[in-house]
Amino acid sequence: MNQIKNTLLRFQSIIALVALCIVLTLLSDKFLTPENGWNIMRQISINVCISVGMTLVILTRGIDLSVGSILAFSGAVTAGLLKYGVELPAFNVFMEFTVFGAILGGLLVGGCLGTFNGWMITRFKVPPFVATLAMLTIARGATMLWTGGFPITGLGTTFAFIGTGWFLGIPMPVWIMAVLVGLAMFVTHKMVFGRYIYAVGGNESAARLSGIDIKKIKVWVYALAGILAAVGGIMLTSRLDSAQPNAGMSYELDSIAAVVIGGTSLSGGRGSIMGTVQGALIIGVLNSGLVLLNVSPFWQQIIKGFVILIAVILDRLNHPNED
Amino acid sequence: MNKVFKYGLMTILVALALYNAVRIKPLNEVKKKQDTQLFDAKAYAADFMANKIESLPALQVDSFLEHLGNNPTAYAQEHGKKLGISDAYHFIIEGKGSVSAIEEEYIVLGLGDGSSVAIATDFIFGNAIRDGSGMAHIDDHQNTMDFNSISVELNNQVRETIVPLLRDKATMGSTLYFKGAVTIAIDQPNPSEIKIIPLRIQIINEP
Repeated sequence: MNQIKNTLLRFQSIIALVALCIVLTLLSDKFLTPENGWNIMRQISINVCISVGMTLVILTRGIDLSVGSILAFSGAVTAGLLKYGVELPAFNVFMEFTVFGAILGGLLVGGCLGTFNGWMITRFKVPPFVATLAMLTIARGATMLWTGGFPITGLGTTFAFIGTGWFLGIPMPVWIMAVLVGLAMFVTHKMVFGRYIYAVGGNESAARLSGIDIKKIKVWVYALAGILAAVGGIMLTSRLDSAQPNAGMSYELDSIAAVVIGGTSLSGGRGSIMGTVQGALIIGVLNSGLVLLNVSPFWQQIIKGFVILIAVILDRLNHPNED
Repeated sequence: MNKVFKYGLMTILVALALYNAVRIKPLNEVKKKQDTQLFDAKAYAADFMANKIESLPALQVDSFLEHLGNNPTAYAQEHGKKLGISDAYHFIIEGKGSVSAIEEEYIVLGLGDGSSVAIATDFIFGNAIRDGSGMAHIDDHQNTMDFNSISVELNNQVRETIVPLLRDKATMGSTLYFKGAVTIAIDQPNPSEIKIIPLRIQIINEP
């Protein structure tokens, strides 16, 4: 009996996802179609990228509220570099960025902002909630400054391929998502760094006494979260062929929801990348299903809120002794 | 030796990445090229107002009002223009009418058949002229700012050239010819609330 219960608990996200798909297939004949399947995969790809970073952060018992703003700023920087380049009037120099260069610039910005988050948290002991909340407004303000409040559009077909192209019959965003998820799974399961992340979140004092450089691990984790948010920003900008100054608003909540629904403990030390992917899929399928069923967007928000609550309650019931 | 190889390889990779990432050009040459490609919305709007209005196809106002009252959706889909997924349709209309009221923000023209229309003399905003005329396409512009600035400049032209003329010449009872742009939200078309943005005004008869 206990074995059955444990198996059910282990696969609760997959069971929920399958049940949701069955119900939506019965309710809408447009749900179970290849087109809708690819649509859902494309839609969740950005959330999965951010959520992979968020999972790493939450595994260390932290939180990152700034991913939505970092996404927007990185996307805007990429678009700005690609479209306008950089002028250095003092040297009579104009730096024209290739697609590759602009993407590197966006990733660098995401990494730097994430590193700054980690530095604030480890060096000055600022609680992650506060440090990343501050970064949320800083990065949003920086996005507004960089774009002047206007979208940056017309980024070219090469750049658009990242967000809208297909390769071997699969959309590019899905390829990018799959590669990142594979890398993150490899890091968390097979690399020492991954074990350190779990150790830091499971018991920070024990990890410190074991000789793990906790500060270094945390700074790296926040830097990675920033880089992954930047990847999401570049994908979104490419998909829309436009960097919107208000892009990524409330994406942090969607990514936290995916992580929580996927079974990662907010207390740290327990969770998995695959669980997060399942969480993002549940949110994506739910979004798609509710739209197909013509449910009002206001109700959609309420339903999603309850799904998150139920996921957390189930998690607490399964792990009653966790702090 | 191992470290030398590692750092050497890293340096080569970074150099290769930077080489493929950025191209350095003289700023003055780039600026010169940009200046010749700069979009001048003001000139574009002025040219449109001076040279394109006359030949702009327009719907007759009485027919427009009649169809709007009967089957607005079908009429709008056939004769109106819209941008993207918006449910607002834009039209260019023309007609004659006599001034029956002069308000602060508009002038009312009686059309003779009992119906009337209002010509806006204030609150000249929106994209009715640009989108109704079909003169500009978003794909022809490098960015949305350029595209939006066309509407801004067209509205400025109307405010600066057409509205003063209308305010000056239109007196109660005078008969006017007008050509103008109008926007209709097709899910709630309300002819009594339509304000036509004037593009061409001609006094036919003075009382």
